[in-house]
Amino acid sequence: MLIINMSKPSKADVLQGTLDLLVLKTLDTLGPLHGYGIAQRILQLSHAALALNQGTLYPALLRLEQRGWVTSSIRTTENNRTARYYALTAAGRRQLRAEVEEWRRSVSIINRIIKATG
Amino acid sequence: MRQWMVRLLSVGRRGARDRELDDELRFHVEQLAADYQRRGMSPAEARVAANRELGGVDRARQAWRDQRTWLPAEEFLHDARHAWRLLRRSPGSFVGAATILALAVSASVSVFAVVDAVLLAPLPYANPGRLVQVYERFMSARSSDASVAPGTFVEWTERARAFTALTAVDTRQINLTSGGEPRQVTAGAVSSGFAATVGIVPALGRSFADADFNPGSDSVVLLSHGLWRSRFGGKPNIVGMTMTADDRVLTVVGVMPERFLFPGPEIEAWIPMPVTAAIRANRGSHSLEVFARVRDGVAIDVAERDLQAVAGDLRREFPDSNAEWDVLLRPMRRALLGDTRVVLAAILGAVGFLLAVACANAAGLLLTSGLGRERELAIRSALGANRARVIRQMLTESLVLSSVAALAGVAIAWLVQPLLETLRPVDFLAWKPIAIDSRAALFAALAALVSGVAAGTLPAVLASRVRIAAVASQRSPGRGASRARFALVALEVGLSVLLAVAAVNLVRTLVRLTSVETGVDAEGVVTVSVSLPETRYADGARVTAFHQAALERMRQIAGVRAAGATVVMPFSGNTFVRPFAVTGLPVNSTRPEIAHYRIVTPGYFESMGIRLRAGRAFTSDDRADRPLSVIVNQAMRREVWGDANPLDASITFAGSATLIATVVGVVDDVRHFGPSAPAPIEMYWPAAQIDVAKSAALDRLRRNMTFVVKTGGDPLTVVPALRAAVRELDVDQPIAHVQTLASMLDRALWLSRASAWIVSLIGVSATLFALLGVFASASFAVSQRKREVAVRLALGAPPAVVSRGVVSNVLAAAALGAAMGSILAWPIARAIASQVPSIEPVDAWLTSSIGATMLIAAALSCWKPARRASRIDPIEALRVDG
Repeated sequence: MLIINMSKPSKADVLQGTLDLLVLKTLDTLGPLHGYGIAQRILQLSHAALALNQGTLYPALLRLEQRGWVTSSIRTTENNRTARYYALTAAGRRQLRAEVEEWRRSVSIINRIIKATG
Repeated sequence: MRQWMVRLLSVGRRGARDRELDDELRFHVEQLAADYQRRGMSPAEARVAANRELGGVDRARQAWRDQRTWLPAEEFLHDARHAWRLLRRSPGSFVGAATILALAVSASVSVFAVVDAVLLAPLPYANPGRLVQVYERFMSARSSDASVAPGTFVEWTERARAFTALTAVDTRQINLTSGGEPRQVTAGAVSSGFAATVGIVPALGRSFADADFNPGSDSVVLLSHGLWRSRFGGKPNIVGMTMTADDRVLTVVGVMPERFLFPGPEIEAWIPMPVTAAIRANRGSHSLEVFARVRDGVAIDVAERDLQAVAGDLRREFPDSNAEWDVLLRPMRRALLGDTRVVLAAILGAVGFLLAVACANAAGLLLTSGLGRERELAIRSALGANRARVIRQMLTESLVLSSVAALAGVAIAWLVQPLLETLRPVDFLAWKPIAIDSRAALFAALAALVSGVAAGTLPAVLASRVRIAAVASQRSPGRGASRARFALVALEVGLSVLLAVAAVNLVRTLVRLTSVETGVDAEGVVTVSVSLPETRYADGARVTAFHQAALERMRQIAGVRAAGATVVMPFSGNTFVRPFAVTGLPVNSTRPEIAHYRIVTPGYFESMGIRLRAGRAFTSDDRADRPLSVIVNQAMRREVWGDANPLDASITFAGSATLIATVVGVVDDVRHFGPSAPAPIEMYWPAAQIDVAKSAALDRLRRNMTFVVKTGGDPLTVVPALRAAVRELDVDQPIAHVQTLASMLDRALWLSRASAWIVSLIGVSATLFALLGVFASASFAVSQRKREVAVRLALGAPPAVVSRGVVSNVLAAAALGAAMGSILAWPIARAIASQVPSIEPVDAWLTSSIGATMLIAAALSCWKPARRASRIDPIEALRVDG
């Protein structure tokens, strides 16, 4: 599902629904990671265009966990602190493939429409 | 789906994960700040920037929690906790309301358990909704239904199309002589449709097959579970064993399941009834109970019309025996339960009323505490709680209250549950144990939910209307609240008047029933039944000789004043009918009439205490070789002869033109069907003359007599001597069904007696509840009006005037309620009376006096609070906070 919030465009707004895709993809690429790491990675790759607010990121992580796509556990970080690490499950990996496919399809449809009318 | 499960499961569980979230968020902020610091910010700047960037920890925490659980559920739980704390803080009204609700719930759950076992539990037959009992109906008589003549039944089985199976049952006594003391067993002789009609597979062995109904190969028996246990020790290898009954050797083919009964609980075994030429020809003696399975897709009334068409054909083909006979179908449960259904429905209704009174009461108490909390609610709404939220909170409180009440109620019901099962009379039909099971608990939960919402809605809506300004200015409670209190008092008084009228009326009915003349004198009377087997007593003269000798011996026993015997006892529920005609004397009607006949021996009237009105009683001279004599009862005399003299009139019987009997006496009426039903038209035949009729059915009836022995003291002390008297005549002859006539009468009365007790108990508790409610409302009304009262007292109003003002408001409400209750009691009682004919009609005197009593009680309950009001110290009261 693709929901685009058109009312108030700003750089911090992540398209709801695509956030799941971004988080799953990040965990797929980097392996188990804490919330801060996920946010940093998305910020870097988007060239600072997507800054995730805590109020968006953590409920999203919980939602993914409730759906059984990620699991979480407390681990020790490189600099010897404890943090909650999130890891992709098999179901999460399947979901990621499905969402990537869905995203590509949506983008191509929208592109076609833009080209036709523009 | 899975997500919702997880979220619902985590409702109300605020655990480690929530605390860890704070660590997680803090970690995030610190990492970000550290990052900023590395890029050159000061530690303080970095922290501020990180916080700003992340949009605040609190918001994140809230958003996370919203995701974690389901918010409405979380709020409900919060409200419930809050309610629990509040209710615990005001234990008085809480305990009061909870107790009343708990008692009401326990009463209704107990009643539900009974209703469930009797009215709702499926009957022990395959697809029981298709089963009906079939009666014959004598078209010109008032009596509605009768047993079926064997020959007519056989015609039905061959002609009716609307049924997949029909079976007839003839209840017989057989004597088991093998395997221990001789014991009389009540057996159902069933025709070949039995297995297909009941559709139940035996627990052991097989049911009857067609071959079992061929004369000659019919020496088989099916045992009830109870008889298998008691007589045969529950032997698993019983099938194929033989037993001796009435000197015949019967092979056991099966044992029926535990709760199977057909048609009544008294039947302990089933034997085949082959269709013989004699049975086929007998269309005059109405002696069989007939049951049928209606074909799938055929409505019951369509099946009835089908069989009525057959009855119409039979009327034309056999006018001698079948003229005037029609048929009637009744669904199985109705046929088996009779009046019990109506009585249970009435009790269920009464319990519903009780629950309603309890709800009104709890509502009153909640309203009271709700109004006392105006300030709290005002503050809540000032802080932004919207109206729906306040209503929800108040409703939650009443739900917490009613849940506590439901738990307590189920606990009480569970504790008194053994009582229910022991109070249950043996012949009370229930198709599962009467128990507080999961269904009853579900019912309690439902009752609690409904009563919680019912009790909570009014207080909640009123509380949500609280105006901040009103509370701040310390005004008296609003108009809506006092109107609601007025309505509640009126409702409570009205409902309890209704219940009290019903209760008093039932008690009156009971008193009338127990004091009614049944026509017999039960003092010192014991009955035993003796069933002579056909194998040894095929000859009528032998039967008569046995009866005479046995009665002679019984009369010799010390303490015995009289002895006689009959084929059918009053109050036993059994009867036999026969159409008859009267010749020779002025007769009211030319149409054939129908009479209930009783075959009796000399001494029967004397030992039952049935008074002779005219003519003579039977003597040993009424023998088979003498002219036939009959004795009629007063009801028959009135119906047939009016004021004329019935003695020496001649009576003839449909289907047997040669039989002419002469009326030799008239006896008093006996209420054969119990005290609540009028005495039927009865005639008595001397047992010794039955041979003349040459009827196998009548011969069988006569071999099966109940001996009635009148003693001067405790009747049970002569039982061993009675048994010995029978043994001396025939060693293999047991006596059975020993009981006193008084206990038979008690059993006939138990249903009306028990229901009257239950409903009175309910009525009394409802009345008490209502008085409690009136009292609470009155006290609260006074305390709410303290300021007003104080001001008036301070301004010099006399205390009497002040207290009158307080009382008049509550009394007006009570008067309204009493009036409504009295008026409504009328049609409701009439509706009940139309269902249960034995219940007395309600009169204006009863309703108005009960209404007045309730009003006086309400006045008394106001008296104390009013006096307290008039003694308020004005200074003290004006200082009172609110």
